[in-house]
Amino acid sequence: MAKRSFQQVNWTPGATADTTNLANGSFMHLGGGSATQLINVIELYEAGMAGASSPTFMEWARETTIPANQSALAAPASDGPLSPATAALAAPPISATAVAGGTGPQRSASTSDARLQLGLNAFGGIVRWVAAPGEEWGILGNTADLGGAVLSAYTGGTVGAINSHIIYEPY
Amino acid sequence: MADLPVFTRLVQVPSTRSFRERSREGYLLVDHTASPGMAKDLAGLSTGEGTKVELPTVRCGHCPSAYVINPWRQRERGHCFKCHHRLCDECAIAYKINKICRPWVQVVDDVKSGKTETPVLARSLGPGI
Repeated sequence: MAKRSFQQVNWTPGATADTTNLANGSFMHLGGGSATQLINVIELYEAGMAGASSPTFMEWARETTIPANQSALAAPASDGPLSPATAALAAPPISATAVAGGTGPQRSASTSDARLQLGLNAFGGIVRWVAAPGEEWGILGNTADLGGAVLSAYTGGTVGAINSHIIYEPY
Repeated sequence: MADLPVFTRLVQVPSTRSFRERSREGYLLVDHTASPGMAKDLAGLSTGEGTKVELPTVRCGHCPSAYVINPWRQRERGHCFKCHHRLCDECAIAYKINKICRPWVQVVDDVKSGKTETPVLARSLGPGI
């Protein structure tokens, strides 16, 4: 029960349709580490790093397919506690940007699943979403749809590089 | 004080209630002050070149979804008078039909305690259940 930051630097989301496996390196997945784990997502931040105009249709969405065989994070991506006094969790949340020979996450197309539209022009654009205390985006358990969420780009535009972080708190 | 609007009178009267609905609002910033921005037909909002948009967001009381408050909305917004929380459209429609209040915190508690194996939202329950 401590706030953590999952971040990735200078990555280019792949413009991908709903219910389609997201390619390695084109997403940021956050999911429950156990069947009963609750994750409260507190903040999402994206800063455009592209060198030319790049409308990028970013979405924070639920998943109809939770990724399998997630690869360990590779630098410069990271996931760590904000407080140095944080104890290790018995069941750490799953944060991933790639899968190893498994199935990538699929963004839900359900009309009853929530999404946050966080589109920006990656040529200098900035998007930040912060939840009020007690009103965070919830991820519960580790099965679809409520057990995982993914930051990725919808089809269209000309995706550009961004820096991004997700501040969250697992329980 | 009698000639003031009702709301003004209410906020001026000392009350034991310290809760304000706005305290539940989140914050969305879309800053294109140094960017070509997005065309309106692409983003759904006016986030073109040189613009900076700040909007409140809220979380539904019955599911863990956050959504942007549309300032131009004319239809009534969903609200649960049992848990006194705003509802998203999906949960608001279900609430009108089944009248079931099952707050998100209860959904979490039920999964944590093993009462339900997976999250069971109010909108997935039928009338009379």
